[in-house]
Amino acid sequence: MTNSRGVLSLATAVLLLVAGTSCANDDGDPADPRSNPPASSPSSSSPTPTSPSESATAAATATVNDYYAIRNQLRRDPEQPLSMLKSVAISTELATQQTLFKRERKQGLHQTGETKVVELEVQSVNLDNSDPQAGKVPTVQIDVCFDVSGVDVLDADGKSVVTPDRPDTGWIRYSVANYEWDSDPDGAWRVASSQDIERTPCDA
Amino acid sequence: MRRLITNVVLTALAAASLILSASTSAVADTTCQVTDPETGVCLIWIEVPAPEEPNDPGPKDTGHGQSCYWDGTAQNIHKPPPGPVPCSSEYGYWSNNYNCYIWLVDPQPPAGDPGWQGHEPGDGAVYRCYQPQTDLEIYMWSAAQPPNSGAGPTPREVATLAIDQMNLSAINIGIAPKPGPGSIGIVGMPVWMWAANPDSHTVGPINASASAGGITVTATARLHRVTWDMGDGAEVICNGPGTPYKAEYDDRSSPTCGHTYQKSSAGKPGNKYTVTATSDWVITWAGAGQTGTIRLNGLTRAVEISIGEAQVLVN
Repeated sequence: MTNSRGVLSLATAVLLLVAGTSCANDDGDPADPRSNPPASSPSSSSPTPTSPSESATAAATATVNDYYAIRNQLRRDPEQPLSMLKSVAISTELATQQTLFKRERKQGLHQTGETKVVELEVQSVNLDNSDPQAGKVPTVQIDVCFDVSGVDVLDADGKSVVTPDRPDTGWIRYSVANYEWDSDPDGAWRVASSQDIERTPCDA
Repeated sequence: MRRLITNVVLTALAAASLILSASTSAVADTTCQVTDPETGVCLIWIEVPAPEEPNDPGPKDTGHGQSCYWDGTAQNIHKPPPGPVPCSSEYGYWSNNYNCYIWLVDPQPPAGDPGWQGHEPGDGAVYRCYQPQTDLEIYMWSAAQPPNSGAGPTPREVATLAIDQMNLSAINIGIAPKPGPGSIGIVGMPVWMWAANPDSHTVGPINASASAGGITVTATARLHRVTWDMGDGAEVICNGPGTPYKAEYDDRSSPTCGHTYQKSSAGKPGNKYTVTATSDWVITWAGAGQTGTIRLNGLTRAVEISIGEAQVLVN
């Protein structure tokens, strides 16, 4: 535990970066993760990594964008296999999203429009890899402001099931982790958990 | 005239005992066939057999029930109603304590995940608790693995714990003629059998509850019937505790549980018949969103009675 905290204090950096990749979806032409494998292709707009921390940040940021792209795909097209989630999510996030999508598909729901990443801010990097399966795993915390103003979720009859008071934008804090850091430090980043956070709404 | 009456009475008693011995259910009543006009005393009692009915075996034993159950009433959720659920599913194994399917998150979430609830990785673990009945999904930390109710006790096993608390016992045998020295019955005379000093432990009803493995069961036990082994080869099955004999009943047969010996007990060990009463209980239980029945048989007590030949003196 003492060692872990030591690693944490050395490796953690509050970067507060507004990643350039947040604009990847702004042109309305989201990357297709099937033709552009998400985990192995960090954003081309990121600066060339010079340290493990910067490399992790770049890869985790790309994973978040890919994660949103795949969520859009799976919800827009119920025929797409949910196994696609495994390329971008793991642990509690994977379980939660699989359960959600299974339930929505069972209920005949589908999404129109696309959720967009408006802002993306890296909050911390922790490269402690002392026990990945137990949760001591390299992790990048990223705050994301999403925009769902163009999104609707419809039932089988085409009726919207979206609550009337749904905000168009909001913030979620993601923990993006690499459980295969030793063998694949760049390509195995996955969204591992998430939680809503209270922040000033971003501009959509 | 007096001798005649005696003979008539004895004959009638013998006839009645035949009827009684032919009907092992002993669920019968007695009525007076003819009354002496002058004294008002019944001269001949006759048995009025109860309508022939198959010996009621009572409710069947319903087995163990299922150890995994859903009960949303604590969450004020009544649909679906409480009831059994599969002990395992794609969501993990069922825990009655948490009322959900448990899955050890694999791999564990990174430090700082809300599921850790302030704990550090390596200290306990994060589990997903998922209720398919409500689509409620919770991530929670636990120091130890939540219990798997599929490996836990069944409702019947918990009901057995409740039954243990009841201290059920065999009936205290009431029998006329009384056991012991100085008391002797007569061949051809009705014998009465009953549960003496009945209480909740010997005849019920009695309630008890027990909890184990996240299951709470309430059980109610009632004496269903008593099987009397009379020691002469006859077996009398009596529903209920029987009717205590009183002196005023004189030579009447028991309306609920009786027997008539055709031979004396001479030659038997100690020159006595060993009368054994075996209690058959019906225990109903409710819990884990289920109900069931347990049959409990084997609580036994025995006494010894002497039966002798009656001698009618004729001058």
